[in-house]
Amino acid sequence: MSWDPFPPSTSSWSLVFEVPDPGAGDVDNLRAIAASRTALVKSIDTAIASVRSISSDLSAHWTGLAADTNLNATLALVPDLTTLRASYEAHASALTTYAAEVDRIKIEAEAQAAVYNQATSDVADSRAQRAAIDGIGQYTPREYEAPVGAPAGTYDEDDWRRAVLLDGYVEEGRETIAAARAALEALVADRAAADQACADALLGGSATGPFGAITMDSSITQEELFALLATMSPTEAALFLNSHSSAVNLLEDGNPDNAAEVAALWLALGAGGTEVARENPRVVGNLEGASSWDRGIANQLVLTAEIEEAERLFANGGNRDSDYYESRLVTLRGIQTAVGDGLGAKPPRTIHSLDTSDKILGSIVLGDLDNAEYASYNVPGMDTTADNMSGWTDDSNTFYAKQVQLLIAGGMDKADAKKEVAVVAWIGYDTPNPLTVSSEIEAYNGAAKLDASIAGTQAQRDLHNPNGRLGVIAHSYGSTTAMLALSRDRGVDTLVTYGSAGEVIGSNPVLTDGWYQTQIWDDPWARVGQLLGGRPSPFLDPDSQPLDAEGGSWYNPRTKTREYVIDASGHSGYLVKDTASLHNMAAITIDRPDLVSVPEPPTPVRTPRPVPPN
Amino acid sequence: MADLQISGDYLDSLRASFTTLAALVSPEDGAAVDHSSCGSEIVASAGNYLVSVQDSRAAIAAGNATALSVHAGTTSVEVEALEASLARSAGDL
Repeated sequence: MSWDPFPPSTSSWSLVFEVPDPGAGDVDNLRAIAASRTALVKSIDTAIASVRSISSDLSAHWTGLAADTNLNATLALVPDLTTLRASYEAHASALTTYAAEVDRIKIEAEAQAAVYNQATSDVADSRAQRAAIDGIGQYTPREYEAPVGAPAGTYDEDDWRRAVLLDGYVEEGRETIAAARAALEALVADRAAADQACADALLGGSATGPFGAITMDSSITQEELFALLATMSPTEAALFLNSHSSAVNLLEDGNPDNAAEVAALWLALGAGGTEVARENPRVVGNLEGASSWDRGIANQLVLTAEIEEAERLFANGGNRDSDYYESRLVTLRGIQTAVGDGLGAKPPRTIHSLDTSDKILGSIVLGDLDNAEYASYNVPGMDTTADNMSGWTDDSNTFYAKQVQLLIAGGMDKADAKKEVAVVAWIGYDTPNPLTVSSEIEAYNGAAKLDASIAGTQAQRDLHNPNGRLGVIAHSYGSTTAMLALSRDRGVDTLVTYGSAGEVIGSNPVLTDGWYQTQIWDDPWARVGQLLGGRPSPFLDPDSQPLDAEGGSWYNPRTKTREYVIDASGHSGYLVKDTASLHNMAAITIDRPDLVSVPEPPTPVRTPRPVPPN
Repeated sequence: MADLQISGDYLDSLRASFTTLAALVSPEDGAAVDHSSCGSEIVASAGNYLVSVQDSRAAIAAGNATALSVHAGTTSVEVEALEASLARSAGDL
């Protein structure tokens, strides 16, 4: 029977598996990243030189207010670029230092591991040879001494000497193993220190820039947050928000009552607002007061993610049945279809709001809502859901086109007219169905949402175009909702209700300019809505003014001719091309009541009498 | 009217300069500088965070440069329109 006087120690033999590899990692990749950062330093140097060249050249070619604005904004790029340069430089430096240290550790660790492995192999070999020597057994050999307690003649003297030698090798090997292990552990400590030093450098002030040094107290109030952000440059404020999701979430508190503060923040953020939107799309997408462009970018990101998620759940199954996900997909894809080419569309289309939490709600802006001179909401009635977003957007686009046409007729340049109109196709509330249309609940709920949306829009417009006009046109039950919403003064200029499902008693729209109502004689559904809900027609409200929906003519000052519009027909016919209702609502919302049609039939065209043959 | 002391050509060249500037500072592909293979979680985490901050900084700088390009471009269009208008008044067109 063989016996091993040096049974393997579990802890010793598992050392290589217990100790993390101190040389782990791809040093070449670290050096490649450092090199890419150094290349960017050079690129930023070129950019800074370019900014200085532009700045010094500008005043020689261009003077005036626009030039000053441009020059100041150009010079404002320099601090940001300088910070970016310092960041790239610190990044490259940290990684270069780190890569060198990791490389050293890797080389030494590999050498120690080789020693460790060789010693381990040697010890195993010596142990095997030692165990194979018969007769020495359990006795502990001592050089030049007889084995303690060994009976004479029970061992061979050569074996004895060999055993002594082998036991010495094992002892020596174990010491080597212990030394290698200690060295490896020291290298592990070196690596941990290098990791920490590198991480500190990567997160330090030189690398992250000024915002990185600012901490946020978790108990900060919204007011304190606005004040804190105001102490930073626009870029640092944007980066601070992107690094503190709790700060972004805090902006939602009290929204839309804080819409003016949010709008002021967004104006200050400049291009940084877009970055905040990209990083926090679910907050910014519906944040009243944030810029409409940035909300559009955020909501597009959310829509894409929601479509992908619905596709995944439809394919793989989720908590709901497949019909639910299929229906959701249809709605979400419908919104995508409605937004079309987005900013590339003519006019540009952006998703102004998107609520996917339960029943999907949303709105699409045609044009530049924050800046356009004439902005309008188009509020739908019964059974108009996000499933109908394409149809509602198309109707709103027809309204947009009519407003543009009338601005041109009024003397505006075509390109300007297109820029000066914006329409919100707003399906931002849960519209009633035929069973619930008699109730006012959805109108009250919708009114709160419409009021919030208008508050956000006005906050932006107050900064970008304070003298611009904001109107609301509202169809059927949407008018019931809008009359309630506009009972709170938000500085809306005009309301036009069309085919109204009636006015909730107590509604009292507050408008800077006026409230108009129009109803086609053959619109039975408007009357049904009024009767079912016990809601009087706005026609009966002395504060409203009638607006013609009958065919007639209007004077086009550009062509100096009378042009004709036709009768609208049916509950869904108010926004049909060439109708009097569409024309007149467009004229009112661009503040051109002089272009409203008058109900007169087109001049009949007399057919010439045939000339009798000679 | 002082803004008329420029030419549309100059503003076009200015717009081109800002476009070049925006391209110079545009963020790179973040995946190309992924720190995940560096062998340390804390360094990977810090490195990737820093890259995202740098990308945001670069995107903001590029956005501001682009905005300046648009501003110069818009002004250029306005100047061209004014010049054309003045030329029409003078009977040149």
